[in-house]
Amino acid sequence: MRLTHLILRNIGPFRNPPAISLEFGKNATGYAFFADNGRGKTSIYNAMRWCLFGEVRERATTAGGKRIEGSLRPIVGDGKILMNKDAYENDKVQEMSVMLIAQGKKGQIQVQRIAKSTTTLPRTDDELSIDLSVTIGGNTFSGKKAQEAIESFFPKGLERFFFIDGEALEEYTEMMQSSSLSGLQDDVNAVLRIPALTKGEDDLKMLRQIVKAKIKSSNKASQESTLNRDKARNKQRQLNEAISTVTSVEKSLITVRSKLLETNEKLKGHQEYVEIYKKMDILKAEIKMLEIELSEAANEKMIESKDAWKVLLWAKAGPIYDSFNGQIDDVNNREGIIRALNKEISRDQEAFDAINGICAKCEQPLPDIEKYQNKLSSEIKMKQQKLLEMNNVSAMSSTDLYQSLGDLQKLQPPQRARERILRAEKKWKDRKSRLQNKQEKFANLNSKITAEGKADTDALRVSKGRQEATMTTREKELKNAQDTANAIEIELKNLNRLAGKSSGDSESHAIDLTIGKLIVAINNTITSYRETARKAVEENASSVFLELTNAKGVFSGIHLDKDFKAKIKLSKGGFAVNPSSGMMSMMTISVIDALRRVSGIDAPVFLDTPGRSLDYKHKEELLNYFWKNEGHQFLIFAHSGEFDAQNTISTHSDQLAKAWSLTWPGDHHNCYSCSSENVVFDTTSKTNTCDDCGEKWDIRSNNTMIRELKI
Amino acid sequence: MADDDILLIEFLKHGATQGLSEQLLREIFTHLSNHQFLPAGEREHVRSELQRIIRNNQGD
Repeated sequence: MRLTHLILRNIGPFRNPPAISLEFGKNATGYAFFADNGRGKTSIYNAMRWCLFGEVRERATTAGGKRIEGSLRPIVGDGKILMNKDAYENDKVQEMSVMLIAQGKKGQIQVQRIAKSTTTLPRTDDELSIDLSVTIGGNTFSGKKAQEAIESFFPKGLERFFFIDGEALEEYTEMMQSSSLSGLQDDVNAVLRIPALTKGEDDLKMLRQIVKAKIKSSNKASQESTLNRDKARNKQRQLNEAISTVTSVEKSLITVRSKLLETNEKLKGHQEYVEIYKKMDILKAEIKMLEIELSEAANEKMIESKDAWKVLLWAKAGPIYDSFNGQIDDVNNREGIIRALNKEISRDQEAFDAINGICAKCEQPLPDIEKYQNKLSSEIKMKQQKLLEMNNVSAMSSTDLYQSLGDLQKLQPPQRARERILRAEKKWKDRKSRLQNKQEKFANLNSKITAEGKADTDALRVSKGRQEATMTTREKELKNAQDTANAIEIELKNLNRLAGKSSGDSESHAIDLTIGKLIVAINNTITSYRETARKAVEENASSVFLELTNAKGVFSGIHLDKDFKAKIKLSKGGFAVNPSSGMMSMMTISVIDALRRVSGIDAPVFLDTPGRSLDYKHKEELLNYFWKNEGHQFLIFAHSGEFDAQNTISTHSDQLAKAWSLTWPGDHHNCYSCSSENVVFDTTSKTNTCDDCGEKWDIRSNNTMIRELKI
Repeated sequence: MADDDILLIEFLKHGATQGLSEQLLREIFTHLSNHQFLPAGEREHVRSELQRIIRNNQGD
């Protein structure tokens, strides 16, 4: 992959510079950015990391051989933000973007990542929307798919082997010499692409679990299927038996029906008798019914007749009862009259005895007293006569009369008993009469049948009756047998369906087998590859180191142990003791580059502050090595203290494709456009103006200008 | 994938020992290499594709 363009907008000190073109006619691979501190070397380096991976972290640190991941650099907010400060503080809508254009094996690659504020002044990155789009050979991806696409040509796991931080070389070195390689181990594994196989092994194991579950399920289904097949076979036998029963009953039914038809035919020859028998049968049924009714009527009559004697007796006793009832009234009246007469006689007698001829009020003698006395005496005698007559009447006493009435009342029948008795009697007679009538008719019909005819007809009728009964039984049996057969057939269908559901899963078995073999192949590959790769890395690292070192006769290369712990080998044998820091840096760069080469990833290498810990000769060797034409672009971001721009350009003009300087406007005392020295500084506006070309620039601005240098 | 890739050469060698076809091994290797940096939680489609590759290469 070859980077062709880099377009920065509002990132670091870059406000809106023109696109950086890395396209170049000759086949050189070296690129260099020269700048003083703060001009944006690392910002370009970080801009590309952000564009590709969506994050920029501070430099990692090491402690006791362990690598501690650097903190995440914010895009906006306080502190060391990624976004250009002018854009962040002054723009209406804060937006930062980076676009990379490259040429890969699959055609042009274009990656663009944009961060845009979603609020007026975003304080944190949460207030930004991030959009990523990737186009590879005409296919465009966005979001997660876009990030996956980047992984296919520039894996994040290998970032440290392509974005090399010169200031972190000591950290790499420390880790490479440490007995604890936990920090570098993952990187080494990643660069050797071992995760491709270890993750693949995990994937295959998970896949195998699914396949095995499917096989297990299939086996279970197969077992159930076998069980159901056995059940189906039993059920089939039951069905056969049921069908056999149905057939047998049907045959029997046909036979019975045939015989019945035959009997009916024979009976037609005795039609007269048949008619008579029909009538007699009707009569027999009616007689039976009437007999029942007669029996009920007799029973009713018997119940009602229990009061019949009372009815008969009452015919005589009733009048006596009425007479005694009348006499009681007379006796009661006479006794009242006698009591009244006795009272009157007693009162009259007292009045008669009290007469003395003198008025009780005026005490004067009463006139005609004798006349009055005679009249009173005559009334007394008359009443006494009447009393005598009354007492002489011969009659029963009231007590006797009441006694007799009580006795008679016991003989009194219940109300309407007579009517009920008569009605029951009538009903019984009616039933009896009707029964006799039917019996006579029956006897009459019976008398019409001859003994011979009767015998034949009776025999046929008995046969018919028996055959009809048999037919009814057979019909019931047939229905039951058919129902049973139908039920068994339904069960059989269900069992057959279940039995035929699975017949094993041979494909899953084959896949399982293949997965098992792949897992073994992966395990064996990892084991052997680590050693093969170690040797390859060691060989490559030695080759690089010998190219870089300025004491080629003293060293024979780099030794890597099984954990990729590095040592410098001496030509005379043994290892370098206390090598210089420059030597160690060379060793580290050699191992890193060897790992990059073995990884097989075709991508540019970016080296920030490459010569920090190297002396002049090592720096030169470094550039000579990396800028040699091997197809890989190699970009350095150098401080002017590390590499002098003019010297580097003149020394490496054949290897350099392009070079740029990164400056602030205030760095330019000459016109940066036409290089004229006729520049006038305005102290009020703090601007420089070129007298020759008229270019103006604000010297206070910290927005970096990118100027391509002539090679 | 370059034919001088040591990892691929090793994988083909060990896969062949297991009796697996070169085509299957190459397809698997390319697929796994392309997704080697995808985290474990996002590999569902990687597994589906693995299954498809294995199924398509059955009987070779």
